[in-house]
Amino acid sequence: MNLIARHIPQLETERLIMRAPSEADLDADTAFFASDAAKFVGGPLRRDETWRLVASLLGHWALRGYGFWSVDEKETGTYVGRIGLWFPEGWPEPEIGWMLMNNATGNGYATEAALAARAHAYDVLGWETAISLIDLDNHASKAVASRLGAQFEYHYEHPKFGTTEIWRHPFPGDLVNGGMEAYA
Amino acid sequence: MKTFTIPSVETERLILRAPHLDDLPAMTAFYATERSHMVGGPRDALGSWDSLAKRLGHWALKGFGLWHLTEKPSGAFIGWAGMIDVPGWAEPELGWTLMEDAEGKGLAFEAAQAAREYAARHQGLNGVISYIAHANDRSRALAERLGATYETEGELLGKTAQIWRHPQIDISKTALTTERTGQ
Repeated sequence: MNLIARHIPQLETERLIMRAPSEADLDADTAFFASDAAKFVGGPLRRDETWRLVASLLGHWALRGYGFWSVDEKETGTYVGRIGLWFPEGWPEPEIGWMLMNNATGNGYATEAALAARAHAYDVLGWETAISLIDLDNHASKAVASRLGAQFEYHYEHPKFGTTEIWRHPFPGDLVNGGMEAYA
Repeated sequence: MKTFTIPSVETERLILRAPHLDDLPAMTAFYATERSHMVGGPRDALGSWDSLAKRLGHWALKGFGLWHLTEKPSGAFIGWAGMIDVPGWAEPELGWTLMEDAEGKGLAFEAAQAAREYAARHQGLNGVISYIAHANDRSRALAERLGATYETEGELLGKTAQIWRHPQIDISKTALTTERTGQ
């Protein structure tokens, strides 16, 4: 057999498990991508389109060696969203992305998982910088970026999604010297 | 931890292997052409990346999928073939696409036959269908050469297409192809 996929590592934070995307998430994802909140992250999508999205998430891991994790609440096992590292065609550079199911917002989960994803990018993958692409009107997501210490840098014209904001995360060296990970 | 594997299959003139990132420029060029219209195109660079990622994810989700075809001994990437089963498909489908330069040598036949046989022996998919666009005469001729027969009209992603049925492969006989190891 020709082994091609990178291992998808499982990460654990105080309240969350970050694991490989799975077909088991499809019901929750389909409900999310049918909702208004999905307009900021490429939605709305039909169920069959959502299936293809899950396939593309897994394929991204195979192509890049990193990607989106599906995130479960540790205590209940409930799937709460996707957070991870994303660099498809059309992105100016690799990003840290997050997307929470509608009933999982307001708990700080996006921030908690994004911190773990960023630590993985910097400490394991050796990224020297990271951005996040955020829709102009996605204020909740901008609040998460701010909590992560990221700052708005410039507007980027995406060929498909239009104008988005690029937020720049603190550099690895800045975090080592008293960054958020130091207190985590 | 989660992993998935994509086997390689070798025929007389071809290697069927996992899709690679290196194949993306050729896919993007293909999807920009008129030729891609009968197999899901046209697509731009973003769509081609997406298609490549989804092929890999299809293997992860289903345990089968499309192989990319390379010609021996040059290693040139000349197309793809394999099994597709995405929501919207009536059942798993044997599909094939060849780049224009590789046509006329029977390579699509060789690839489709190997993929069909591998699917029957190792993926539990025997007597499968192929969707063929009405205007795709070349693909219909290949289906006939493969021993498939027209079954019914179908619909795929909002477009009508013919459904052709492949014969059951007798998997008790020795395989025609070699599964490569250790690549």
